[in-house]
Amino acid sequence: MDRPVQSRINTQIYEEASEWFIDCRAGDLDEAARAEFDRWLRKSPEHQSAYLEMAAIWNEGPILDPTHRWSVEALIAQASTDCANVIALDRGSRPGPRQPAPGPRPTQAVQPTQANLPSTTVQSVSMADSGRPVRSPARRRLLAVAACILVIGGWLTYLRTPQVLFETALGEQRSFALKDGSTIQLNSLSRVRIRYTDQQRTVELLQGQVLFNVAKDSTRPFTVLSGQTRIKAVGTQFDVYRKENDTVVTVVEGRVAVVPPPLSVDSPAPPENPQFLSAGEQIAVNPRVARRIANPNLAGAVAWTRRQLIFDSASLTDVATEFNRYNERKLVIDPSALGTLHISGIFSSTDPTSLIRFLRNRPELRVIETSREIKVESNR
Amino acid sequence: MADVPDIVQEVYLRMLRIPNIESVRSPEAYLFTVAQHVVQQHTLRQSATPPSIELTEMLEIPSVTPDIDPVLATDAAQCVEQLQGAIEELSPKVRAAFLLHRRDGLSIEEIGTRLGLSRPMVKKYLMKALMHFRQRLEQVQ
Repeated sequence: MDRPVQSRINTQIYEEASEWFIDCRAGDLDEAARAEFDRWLRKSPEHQSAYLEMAAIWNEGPILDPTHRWSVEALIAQASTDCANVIALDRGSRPGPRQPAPGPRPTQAVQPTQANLPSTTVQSVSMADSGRPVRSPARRRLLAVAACILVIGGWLTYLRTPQVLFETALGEQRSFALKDGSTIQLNSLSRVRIRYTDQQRTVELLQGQVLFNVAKDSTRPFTVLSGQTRIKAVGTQFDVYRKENDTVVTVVEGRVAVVPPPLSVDSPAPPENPQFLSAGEQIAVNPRVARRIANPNLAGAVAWTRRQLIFDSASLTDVATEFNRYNERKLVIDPSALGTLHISGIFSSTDPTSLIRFLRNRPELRVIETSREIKVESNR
Repeated sequence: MADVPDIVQEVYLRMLRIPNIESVRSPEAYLFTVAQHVVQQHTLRQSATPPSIELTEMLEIPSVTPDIDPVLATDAAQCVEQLQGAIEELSPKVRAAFLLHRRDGLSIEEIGTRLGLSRPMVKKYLMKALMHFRQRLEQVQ
């Protein structure tokens, strides 16, 4: 039972939980056994949690082979050729009067799907660990418990503390002071969901871009979720921009840890591999890659707070994307104009006049303005 | 995920307040009921009417739930995918016992007969399946 110290529920508790759980399913608990089970459940929150996890896993049983990969016949045929009949018994893993086996027990009430045969006490099955290091046990446990509560509770709609939603309209920018002293500044067309508990401060970036100014509180970590990317900070200032494909994190002050999403749900989960960013650093994260930006344009990243757009040889498409975040009248780049030039300079985000003037002065481009859009085409 | 440890803790404390003489009739039912109530109270802040639930249905209720937080739902979906992947890793006997019981509804006895195994052996294989699945969940990030 050698487990890394950080694993909060040890294997033995899980083994005991699985044993009690299967005994319950089989209807094999007599009065004395139920009393012992009751004592076991009252031992610690971990015992209860382990039991609930087993129940959750069990509950998913019917949907674990959705494509029916194995027919009943195939299962039976494979099982009969399986010679690995031996399961290591781990005597003594369950203390108390149920050890040693007292022989056949009185039969119990019949379960719907199970006849009742006398059974001998089942001894703990030792599931030898593969020796793999336990990865991120706290996170995993939370997941498992969460999934478990979710599952056991089809009744459960939601278990969190009240949440607050902040959002901005097109062209609107707003700052909000949070109760812990942190401030968040929302760019145009942005939406965040805030959840504070005694242990954690969590902000979900649902859309757009936010500049975070985090008040220090080492007892309550501050985490930003952007899709499946997590950004953790203690006391710092950083900008998170949830783009269509990437999440771009720019650190203005202090230090944050960025945890990219897992590669895919099918692949074995990689070890959590946070990227640490210091002031002045920038990273772009998507499900495939986490890419540090060399020589990031720090001023450009937060210029939006001054209603400015700063471009440093940006493509026309990027320029259009940025302008369109703030303006009703959209900048539309015709494919013929793509790749014609790169733009550098400082522009007002809410007033495209200077940009339009700049584009009109390019001989290779033609700018057509209507009330709805500003179209840019090649002049050739 | 923040509240989950709180809930676990609270479930435990409330369970301790129930006299043994009551809970001993069905410790499992008490655990599920208490857990349900605790979670409901967390939920109540958002909805006025608590759903009424039959205890016996507790393990049979499907996992589809409206208004689930997307992060939590993603996590749960990931867990299920992990479990689906883990089916393959089970030894043939363990896989047969688990799927025949949970997917095909065969009783422990029927499985014993079909596989030529004793009842305690079938139960051990079911435990082994649970333990493997749990270990697999440990790898979910």
